[in-house]
Amino acid sequence: MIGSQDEALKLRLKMMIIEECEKEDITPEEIPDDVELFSDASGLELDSLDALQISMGLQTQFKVRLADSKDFRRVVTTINALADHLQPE
Amino acid sequence: MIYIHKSGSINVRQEETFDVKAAWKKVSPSMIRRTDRFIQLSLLGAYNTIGQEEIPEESALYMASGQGNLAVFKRLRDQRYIYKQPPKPVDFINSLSNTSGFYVAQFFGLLGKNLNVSRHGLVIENILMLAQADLEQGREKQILLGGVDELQEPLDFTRRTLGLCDDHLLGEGSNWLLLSAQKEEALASIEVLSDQMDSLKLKAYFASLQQKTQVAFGGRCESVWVEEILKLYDFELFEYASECDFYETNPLFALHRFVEEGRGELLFINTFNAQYRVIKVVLI
Repeated sequence: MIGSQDEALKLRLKMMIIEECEKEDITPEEIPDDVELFSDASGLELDSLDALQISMGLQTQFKVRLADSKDFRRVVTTINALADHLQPE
Repeated sequence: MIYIHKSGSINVRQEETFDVKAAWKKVSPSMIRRTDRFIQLSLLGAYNTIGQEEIPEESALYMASGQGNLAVFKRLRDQRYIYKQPPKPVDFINSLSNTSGFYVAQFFGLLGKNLNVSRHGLVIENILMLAQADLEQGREKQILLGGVDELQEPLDFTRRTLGLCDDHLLGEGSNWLLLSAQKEEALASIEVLSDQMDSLKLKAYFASLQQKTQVAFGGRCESVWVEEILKLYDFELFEYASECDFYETNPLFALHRFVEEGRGELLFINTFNAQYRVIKVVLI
């Protein structure tokens, strides 16, 4: 199953983001699947340090290593896109 | 001469549990992310001293600690050597010695000198001497000075690290003073005697005192020696130890309690490696 259709995977990703970015006041349900995570529309108010934390979370919890910031920007856009990257089919 | 204009405290005893994070979150929900217990203690202690009041942005911030933010170093060590992972970026940033100073300065909008001193033994006396020199020479107009220590587990290991006996109860706290060279509206004067003394020289100093005074002793002073001093000289003990377990910066708790509830004059005597220092506080 492609990642964007795997609700369990997307829930794990959202919980990882909440944990790594210490956004304890936000529930997974409040993070939209198809909105850019680093945009104002996401309501998450993430910054560059959050990007590093998410990168570390992907490495430790999902065993995915993103080589550099360019790679990060390409992969970590929306929850759906990130899930598809982790689980292409 | 320098003066205490405000004092405030967070003091947690060994057997107490205190949710620092929840307490700080009530004060500033927007400044909780990326802070750990050491930083939250720092912020809360400083807030209990200054509150919502604005202080001039050029005020300096001097922070002291016995062990610094040791908990974050433990996390970094575990991540690196036990879990074989790189450190979390936030932990890495918080491991810088003055990160808590940065947060306190940011909360109060302070842009002045931000100094952080961490050492075992007489750390409060040393940072007060720095503050005294800078205020008396006019290098600083006002200094927010704090001492912060976080209780570290396991307690036996911490006692050994600090060079304390097994029966020492360990606490944690964040105690702060707002200092300036201005006497107007001050609560008390404060002075660290410039001489570091051995026991003989200290006794000679005690013998030279003209008037009856109150004394308090640091946690490293042995109880037998304290009893001897109290018997030898006409001193009255200012009791604070029953409210406070040991942490390196708890002399500031004693000073805070004296400013709150004391009267007259206090000599706070502390020791490390058989050398003694005396802080003199006179209430105004």
